[in-house]
Amino acid sequence: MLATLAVTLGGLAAAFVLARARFRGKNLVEAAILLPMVLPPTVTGYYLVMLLGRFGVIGRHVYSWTGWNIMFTWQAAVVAAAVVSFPIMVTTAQSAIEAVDPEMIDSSTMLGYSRTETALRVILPLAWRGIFSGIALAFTRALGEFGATLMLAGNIPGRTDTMPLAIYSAATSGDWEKAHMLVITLTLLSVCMLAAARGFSRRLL
Amino acid sequence: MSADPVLRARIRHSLPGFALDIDLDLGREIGVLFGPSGSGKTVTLRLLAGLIRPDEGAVTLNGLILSRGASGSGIYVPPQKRRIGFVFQHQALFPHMTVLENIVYGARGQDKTIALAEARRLLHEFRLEGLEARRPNRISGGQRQRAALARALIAKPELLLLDEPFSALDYQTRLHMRDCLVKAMKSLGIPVLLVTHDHEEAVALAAKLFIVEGGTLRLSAATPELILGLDKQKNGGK
Repeated sequence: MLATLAVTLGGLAAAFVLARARFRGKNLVEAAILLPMVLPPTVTGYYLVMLLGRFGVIGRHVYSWTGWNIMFTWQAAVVAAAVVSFPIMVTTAQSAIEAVDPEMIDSSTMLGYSRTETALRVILPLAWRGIFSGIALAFTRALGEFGATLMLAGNIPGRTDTMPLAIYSAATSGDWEKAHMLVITLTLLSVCMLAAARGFSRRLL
Repeated sequence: MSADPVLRARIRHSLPGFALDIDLDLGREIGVLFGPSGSGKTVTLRLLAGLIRPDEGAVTLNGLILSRGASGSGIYVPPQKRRIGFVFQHQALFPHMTVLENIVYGARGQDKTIALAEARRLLHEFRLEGLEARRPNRISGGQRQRAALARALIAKPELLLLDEPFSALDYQTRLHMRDCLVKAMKSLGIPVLLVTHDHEEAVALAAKLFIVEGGTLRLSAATPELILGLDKQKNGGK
C-alpha cells in the first residue's frame, strides 16, 4: 500500500513531466524509467542492493549516519515493489495525459491559468480514468513482486514475506493448504484490480 | 475609431516548410485573416497569443510590449498573462464542466458573485438560458460556440482572437453568431481578429482585411471583388 502511494505521487509527477515537457535526453530518461519492466527482477534487485545495501552507494552513508540498513526489512519490500511498479504507473498516466486535447490546455492558458492550475483543474480531471487505471495496474504489479523483493528484503517470516514469497515458502515446505489459500487470494485480488483498470481505461475512450 | 492601432505586430517566424512575415495594425474593430488553409493563419493567431514565441519582431497591445526581440533574449510576456481571449476552432469547452462552470472558469480571480452575475448576463445575451447545467456534449454546435465566446469575454480581454469559430455551423447559426460577435465587439470596444476561409464571412465582418499568401500577411481593402478574385486565382491555380 505504501509502495502504491509513493508510486502514485512520484509516477504522476514523472508522467506530467514526460507528457508535457520537451528536453534533451528525454528518450534516455524514459528508457531508464521503463528498465525495471524488462529486466529480470533479480537484476533490478541486484541494482537496488548495490545502491541501498550495507555497502551500497547510498546505503553506506545511511548506515554510517544512523547505523540502520534497509536490507532485510519491510521497508526494503516496499522499495522493491515501488521500483518495479513505477514504470507501469508512469506509462499509463503519461498516455492518459497526452490524450488530453491540446486546445483544452491552450484554452485554460489563454484564460490566465498557470501551468499548475491548468494541470489540476483541466488535465487531471480529464485524465483521471487513465491515471486510476495506472494506479490499479501498479498496485497489482506491486502485489505480485517477487524477485527484487527476495534480493533486497530476503524472506523473513512475519517481516518481509510478501504474499508471493509466502507462497514460495509454503509450497517448498509442503504446506499446500496455506499455499492454496494464498494463491487463490492473490489471484482473485489481481483479477479484481485488472478488471478495475480495464474498466477505467475503457471508459476513457 | 480605427485611427490609433491598439494591436501592432511586426513578426517574422520560420516554420518547417515556410516562413511567415506579419505586418498588422488593428484598432477597436474587426479584422479578418483570410487565406487558403495551410497558409499560416492559425500560426499567426498563436504567435499573437504567445502560444508560439516569434523568432523576431515585436507585438504591442494598448502600448504594452508583449514580445520583442529574438527568442532567448528580449521581452516575452507568457500567454496566461496577456489578457487575450482565444476561441478555438473546436470550441475547446471543458467536457467535465457544465456550461455555466465553463463560463465562470473564464472569470479567473474575479469576485465569485460578480462573476456569476456576469455569467448569467452573458447566458442571456447569447441565448443560452436553460442550458447552464448541461455538459458541452449535450448542446448544439452553435450553442457550444456561443458558450466558448462567453467564456472568453467574461475574462475581459483586451484583444479577441477567433480561429475559424463558425466553420462547423450551419448558415442560420452562422448569421446569428456574427451578430453576437459584432454586438460583443461594440460593447467591449476591443480589437477582434478572426480567421476564416469563407469569403462571404470575410466581407460581411471585416473592417480590415488581411490576406495571407505565400507566408506574407498584408492589409487589403475589404471588397468582395478582391476576395472573389483571390478565390478564383486560388482555384485556377489548382
